[in-house]
Amino acid sequence: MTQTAIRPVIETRNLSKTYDSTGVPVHALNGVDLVIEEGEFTAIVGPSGSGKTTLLNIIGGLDNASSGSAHVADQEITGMKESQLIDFRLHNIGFVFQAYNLIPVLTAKENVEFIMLMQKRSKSEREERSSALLSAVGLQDQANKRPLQMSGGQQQRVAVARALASRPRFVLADEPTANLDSHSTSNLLDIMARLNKEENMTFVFSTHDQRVIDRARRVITLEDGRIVSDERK
Amino acid sequence: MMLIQIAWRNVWRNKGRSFVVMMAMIVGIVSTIFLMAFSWGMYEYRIDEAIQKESSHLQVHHEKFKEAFEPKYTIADHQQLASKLRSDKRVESVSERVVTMGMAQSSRSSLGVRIIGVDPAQEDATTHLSESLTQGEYFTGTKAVPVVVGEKFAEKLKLGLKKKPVLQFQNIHGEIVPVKVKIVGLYKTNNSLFDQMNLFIPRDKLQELLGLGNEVNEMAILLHDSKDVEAVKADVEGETTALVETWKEATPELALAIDSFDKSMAVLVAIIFLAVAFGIINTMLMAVLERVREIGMLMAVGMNKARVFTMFMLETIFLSLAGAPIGIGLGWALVAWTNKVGINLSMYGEGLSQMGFSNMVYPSLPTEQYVILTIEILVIVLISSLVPARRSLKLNPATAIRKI
Ligand SMILES: Nc1ncnc2c1ncn2[C@@H]1O[C@H](COP(=O)(O)OP(=O)(O)OP(=O)(O)O)[C@@H](O)[C@H]1O
Ligand SMILES: [Mg+2]
Repeated sequence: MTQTAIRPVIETRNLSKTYDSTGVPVHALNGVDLVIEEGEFTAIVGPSGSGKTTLLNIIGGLDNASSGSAHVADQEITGMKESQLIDFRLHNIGFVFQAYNLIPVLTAKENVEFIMLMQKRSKSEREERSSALLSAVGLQDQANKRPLQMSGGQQQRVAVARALASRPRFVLADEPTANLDSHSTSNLLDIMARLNKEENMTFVFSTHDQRVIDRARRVITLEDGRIVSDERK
Repeated sequence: MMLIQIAWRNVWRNKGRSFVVMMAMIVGIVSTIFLMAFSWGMYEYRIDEAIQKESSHLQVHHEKFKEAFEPKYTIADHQQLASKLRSDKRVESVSERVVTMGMAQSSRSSLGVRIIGVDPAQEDATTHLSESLTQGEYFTGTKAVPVVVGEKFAEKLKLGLKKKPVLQFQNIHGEIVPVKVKIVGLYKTNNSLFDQMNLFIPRDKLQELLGLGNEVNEMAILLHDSKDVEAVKADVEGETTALVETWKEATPELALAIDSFDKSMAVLVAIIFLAVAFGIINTMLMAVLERVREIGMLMAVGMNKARVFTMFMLETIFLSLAGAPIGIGLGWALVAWTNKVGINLSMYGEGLSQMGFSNMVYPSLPTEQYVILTIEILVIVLISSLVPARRSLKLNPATAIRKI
C-alpha cells in the first residue's frame, strides 16, 4: 500500500441524548451512527429542534451523551472527565459559534493568538500563524481592531481564523452564518471551502440556509434526533 | 501573560461601574485611615503624656494601701528598693511619695483632695510637674507650708496664688490634723479631674504631720521605654512584698476608656471594610452574570477552570486596587492636614478631658500602620476576589453556549 487508509476523525455509534432537566424527558438524539472522515466539508441540516446542536455539542466534547459512544480525533470521549474534555477541546477541535466567538477586549490578532497561548505555543509561532491566518481570511488590515469595531461577517472570519489557529483535527461550526447577510455568508463559505481544499481541514457545520447547504459536499439531514438522509455530492 | 491584559481591559469595560467601585474603595480607605489616625492621635499619642505626667509606668504600694488609702500602710524598705531601681538602666526616675486623702477648705467652700507629699526634685524628674506649671513657682522657699495645686482646684475653691487654704486629714493615730498651706504654684494637665484632685506638698512636711517618720506609701517609677513595663514589674515584684502595678492597672479607668475606644474603632473599620468588600463582590458577580456567554465560549474553546478563575480574580483585584493608591494618598494628606490644624472636640463637653484626653486631637498615624493597612486591604481584596471567581466556575459551557 502506498497510501494510508483514510481514518475517520469522528465516529459515533448508537448515540442518544435525553434531556431530563424539565421533568419531561426530551429525546434529542435517538441512535445516531455517523462517520466523518478527514477532509470532509459536511453540513448537518434539519428542522429546528431536530438535534443538530445537540449532536455537534456531543461530538465537540461540550456535552455528554446519554448512551452510545463517540470516538473523536482518535479518542473515546464518552466518559471523559470535565477537565480532560477541556484539554481535548483545546487541542483537537476548532469552534465557530453563531455569535460571541471573540473576547471583546482583545484585538482580532490577540483573539487568534490567545488560543495558541493557551496551548503554550512559542511567541514566534503565535505571531506568524496569527498573521498568516488573518491574511487567509482577508483581514490582515483589521488585525488591531477589536470585535466591536468590526462587522458581523468580519467577526465570523476572525472566529474561523481562531478556530484554525489551534491546529485542530476538525472545525465544528454551529450555524456560523445565521447572523450574516447573504454577501458575508458567501464570503465566509468561500473562505471555509478554500481552507478545506488548501489545508485539507475538515469542516462540520450546521445550517438552515439553503445557499450554505448548496456549498456542502455532504449533507446529513436530522429529524427528531435521527439521521434521515445522508447525501454526498 | 495575556490573562493579565484581558483582566485589566475588562476592568474598563464598564467605566461607570468601575468608577463607582473605585470611589467606594477610595472613600473606604480614606475614612479608615482617618479613623485610625484620629484614635491614634487621641490616645496612643496622648497615653505617653498620661504616663509622663500622671501615672508613670509603674506604681508600688503596700498591698492594703488601696483598700482605704490609709497612710499607715507604707512600703517596707523603700529606700533600698528605690536605690536598686535607680541603678537599673531601664529606669529613668523614681519618685517616693507619701499620699493621703483629706479635705481642702477655703473661706468659701471645701473639696475632697489627695494630698501628695513629694521630694520636689524626684517628682519633677518623674512627672515633670514643673513643666505643667502655669502660674507661680515650683516649691520655692516660704515660711508657710508650700503647696502646688491644679488650676481646676483653684477654680473650684476660688483661690489663687499666695492664698492659704487649710488642709485637714487624719494622722496615723486617727487624729485630725489641720494645716495651713500657701499656694505657690498652679499647674494644668490635660486631665482636669487629676488637676482638681491632686495637691503637692513637700514630703518631709507631710511625713511629720502624719507621724510617719521617714516612710513612704507610694513609689512611682518612670521608665525610658514603655516596652520594659512588664519586665521591670516582674523584677520589682521579686524585690518586695508590696503591690506593683502597671499604669494600666493603676488607672483602670484610662485603660478601659482606651480599650473600649479601640474596640469601637475596630468595629467601625471592620464595617467599612465589609461594606467595600460587599460592593466589590456584588459588582464582580454582576460582571460574571453579564458575561455568561463569553465565559461559556472561552470554556468551550478550551480555557481551563484555573485560567477562568485566575482571570476573574485578577479582574477583581485590579478593579479594587485601582482606587487604593489614591485612597491611601488622600488619607495620608487628610491626616497630615488635620494634624497641622488639629480637631477641636471641646464642643463634646467635659467627658473627654475628665478622662485625661486633650480637647484638641491631632490625628497622626505611624508609617507602619499604613503598611499594615495596605496588607489588610490586599488580604480583603484577595478574599473578595475568590467569590466571583468561584462563581464563574459554576458555569456549564454547554448551557452557556446554547444562549449563543
Ligand atoms: N438543556 C436542554 N434541556 C431540555 N431540552 C433541551 C435542552 N437543550 C435542547 N433541548 C431540546 O432538545 C431538542 C434538540 O435541540 P437542539 O438544540 O439540538 O436542536 P437544533 O436542531 O439545534 O435546533 P435549532 O435549529 O433550533 O438550533 C429540542 O427539542 C430542544 O428543545
Ligand atoms: Mg441549534
